[in-house]
Amino acid sequence: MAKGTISNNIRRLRFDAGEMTQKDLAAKVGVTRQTIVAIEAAKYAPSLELAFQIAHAFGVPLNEVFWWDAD
Amino acid sequence: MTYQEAKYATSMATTALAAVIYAVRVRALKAEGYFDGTDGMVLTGRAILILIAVIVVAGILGQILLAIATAISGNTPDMDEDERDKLIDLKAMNWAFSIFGFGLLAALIALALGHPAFAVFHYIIYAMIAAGLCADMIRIWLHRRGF
Repeated sequence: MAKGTISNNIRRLRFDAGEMTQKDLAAKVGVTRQTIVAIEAAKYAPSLELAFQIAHAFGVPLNEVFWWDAD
Repeated sequence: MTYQEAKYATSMATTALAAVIYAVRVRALKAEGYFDGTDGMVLTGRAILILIAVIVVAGILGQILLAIATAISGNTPDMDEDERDKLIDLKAMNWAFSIFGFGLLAALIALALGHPAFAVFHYIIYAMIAAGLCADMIRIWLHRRGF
C-alpha cells in the first residue's frame, strides 16, 4: 500500500475564521485541544467523521481542509 | 503536563507505590516463615488479593486527589476522552497484553524449571504490574508525541 502523509490547512482556516483558537475549534467538534494540536501538526490523522466535523466547523468542503500527499 | 498525562502519571505512582510497599512487606513476612507450611498458598492468595484491592483503591484515591488539586488550581482542563485518547488507550493495552504475556510465559518456564509456586505467583503478579506501568508510560509518551 502506498504510504503518504495527510496534510491540512487548519492553521490558515483558523486564521481566516478570525483567529479562532484551538480550544474553540476543539469545543466545536467535541475533542480535546491536544487532539487539535496533534491534527494541526500532522501527527495524528483524524477519523473520517472528525475530519468532516472540522470541515463543517469552517464551512468548507473536506478537501479544502485535508489532502493526501503521496511520498 | 496536560490533565490526561497527570492522570496516567498518578496511576503509575500509586501502582508503583503499592507494589513496592507490598514487596517489602511480603519479603519480611517470607523471611519470618509466614508463607511456609500447608496453608502457605492460601496466605499467598490472600496477600495477592489484598495487593490488587489496595492498587484499585489507591488508584481511585489518586484520581480523586488529582481532580481536587486541579479544581483548586483554577485550571479547566479537558477531562473528556476523545477518539485519539481511545486509540492511545488501545495501543497501550496492546503493549500491556504483550508484556504480560511474556511475563506469564517466563513464570511458566520458571515453574517448569522448579521454582516454588509462591515465587511463580509473584512473577505473574509483578508481570501484571509491570504491564500496567508500561501501558501508562506508553500513554504518556503517545500523548506527548501526538499519537
